[in-house]
Amino acid sequence: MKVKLLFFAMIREKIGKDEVDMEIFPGETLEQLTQRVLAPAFPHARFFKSLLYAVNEEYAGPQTILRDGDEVAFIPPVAGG
Amino acid sequence: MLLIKITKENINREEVRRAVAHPDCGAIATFEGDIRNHNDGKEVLGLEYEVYEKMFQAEVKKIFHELAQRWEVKACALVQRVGRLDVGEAGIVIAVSSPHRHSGMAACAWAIEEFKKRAPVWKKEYYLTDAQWVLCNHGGK
Repeated sequence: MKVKLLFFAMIREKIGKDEVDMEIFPGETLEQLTQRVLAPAFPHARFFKSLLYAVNEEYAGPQTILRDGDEVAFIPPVAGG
Repeated sequence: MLLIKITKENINREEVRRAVAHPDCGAIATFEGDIRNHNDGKEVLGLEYEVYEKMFQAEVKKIFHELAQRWEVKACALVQRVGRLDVGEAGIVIAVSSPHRHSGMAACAWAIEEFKKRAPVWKKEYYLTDAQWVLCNHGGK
């Protein structure tokens, strides 16, 4: 099973890419995927407290179980307007 | 009627206002967010906006639909700028038309507050010697 990950703003800069395709485990949640993908680049826990997620362009909670083909966006604190 | 647009060009403020004008409406309320030359005690030379475009469209549509359930409005328009901007340029322009002023002004004020909390938009401020992403509290749901 594969999902597409989208990175924006400071996450995009740190990772060095704006999107990647990634294999997921059956039943893997957003939170588990986030730890696997972002924790090495963002060692401070406070970063994750302010992080939101979107799956297929809708805000989603950390316990959301991912499905094949999902588009996952990591949403750092927004600052529009 | 809804106009939701992302642009790399200078926002045409009059075009946004005109997009919501309607003979039924006696009021057009607008919000124009311009780039300020300072923030948190630092001189700001310019900004860079980044947008998750597909989700932006969906989220702003939701905001406008919720707005139409709360207030009597005829049309809404929102244009967001992306890329590098200089001080004094508009980062966002919102316009709302309504039969009477009170509903339009309240709706426009509500729209920008919701937008700031929910729209997937990020901005990087450029200073004399460095730059940083602006961290606001967000309330995505």
